[in-house]
Amino acid sequence: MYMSDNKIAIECVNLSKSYSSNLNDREKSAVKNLNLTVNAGEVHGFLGHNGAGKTTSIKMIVKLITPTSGDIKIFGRDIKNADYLDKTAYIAESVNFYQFLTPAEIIDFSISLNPVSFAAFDRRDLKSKSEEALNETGLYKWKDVSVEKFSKGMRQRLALALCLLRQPDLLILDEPGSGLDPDGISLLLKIIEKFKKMSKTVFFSSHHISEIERVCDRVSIIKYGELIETIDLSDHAKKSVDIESRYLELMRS
Amino acid sequence: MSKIFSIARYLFIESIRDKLFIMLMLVSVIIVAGNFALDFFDQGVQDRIIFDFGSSLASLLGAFLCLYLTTSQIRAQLDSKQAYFILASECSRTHFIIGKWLGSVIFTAFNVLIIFGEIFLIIYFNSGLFSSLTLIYFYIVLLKLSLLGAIAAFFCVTFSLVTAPALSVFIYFIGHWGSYISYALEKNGSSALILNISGFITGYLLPNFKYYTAEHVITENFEGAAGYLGMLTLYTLAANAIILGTSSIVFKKKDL
Repeated sequence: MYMSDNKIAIECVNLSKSYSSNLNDREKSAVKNLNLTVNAGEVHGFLGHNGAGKTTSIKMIVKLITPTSGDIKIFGRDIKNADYLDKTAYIAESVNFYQFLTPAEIIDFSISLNPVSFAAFDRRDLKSKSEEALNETGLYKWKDVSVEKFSKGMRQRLALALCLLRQPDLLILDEPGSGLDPDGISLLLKIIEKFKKMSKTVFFSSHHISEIERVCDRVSIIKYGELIETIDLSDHAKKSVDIESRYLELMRS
Repeated sequence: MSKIFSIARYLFIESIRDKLFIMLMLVSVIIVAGNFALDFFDQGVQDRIIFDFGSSLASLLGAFLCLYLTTSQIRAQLDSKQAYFILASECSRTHFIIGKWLGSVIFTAFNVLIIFGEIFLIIYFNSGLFSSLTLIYFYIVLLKLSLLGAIAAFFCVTFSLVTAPALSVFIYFIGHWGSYISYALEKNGSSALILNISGFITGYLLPNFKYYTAEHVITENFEGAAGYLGMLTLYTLAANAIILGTSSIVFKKKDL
């Protein structure tokens, strides 16, 4: 179904989303003709001010909202007719789970919902892999505690543990650093780097330029719903780019 | 299908750990058992009192549970973004809606079964009667609640956390009292057209909850009662399929 060997992981062509405003019946554009390409195997950052259209764009990519116009392809496949994106994992800005289930049960639930994603593992290995993922995200000692007792950051870690276990071809994160303590952010960046080493694609939005600088190969900047620049941050180009001053320059222009 | 069962299963596990539901069940079981005290004042109709009161309470509790569960499991999870993780990459919206509905119905059935089981046992130990009507009425209540759950699921994909259950209760009310509404309109001298429209809406367009009573079963012989239950099952299945199918179509087009 998926073409993981496709060189482009996400391709948005003339993507737009408008909402009708209740106040004056005028259409308000959240995203305007967005043309975005995320290469397979790269870590791609998505920067923009509050209300720039980052979350709307991401929600369109993961099919939570329908674009007003434009096309989206994931690994070369048009997502219009897909019910959901089975080789993709998405973590929203604020993550919630069943509050009376434990992390171990939530992992079991995820496995039962999408057994294909875990097909690479032997059934017997799955338990040890789950424990490994919980250990890596610092949740192992909480594995039998119900999620209602978890802080926002711990829920975020649980979502990351699920992603670690599933190892999707494409990981999409919306403001993953929000709610995480410095230790959590460090863990998040480690996980992103781990995905990068496994040649998986990571696309994430953030307000923290330091996060973007540390792990991204490229970064796209969005302003008032329009993509204004994509900057190459790969190792060979990194030294010549001061992303913070470039970002501020673009925002003020 | 496995995704639907998985969603239903974990909804059940989640709900059975909810202290609110445990408290509700305990209170209901105690109230039904308390009917036993009425024996002191009975006129030889204590079984009837226990059955009527207990089954009404079970039906009411079931309706509350079904509405509360469907609303909290669909609307509240969409509002809190809890459902995003699985809707984006683990299951389709159709699986989600049907799984949540099924889980709510199974959990409600489990709770209602406990109360009907209690009624059955009280009647059995009180009079030595094997009350088959208790089992039949449990089945009728179950069918009715499955329909109410489907209606709630439909409103949950479209309306807010407050409006969705309110509209479900409204439809439930109309479904029970449709014929009285027509009667009231007729008494007020409404035109034939209005009466026809009202009759069509309450009798055919909206689910008719008046079918879900035990009186049809009591007055019929065995074949008649079995036939009635069979027709009621088909009616419920068809209505649930139409409502859940429509919910799924609407939900697929909905921006989250």
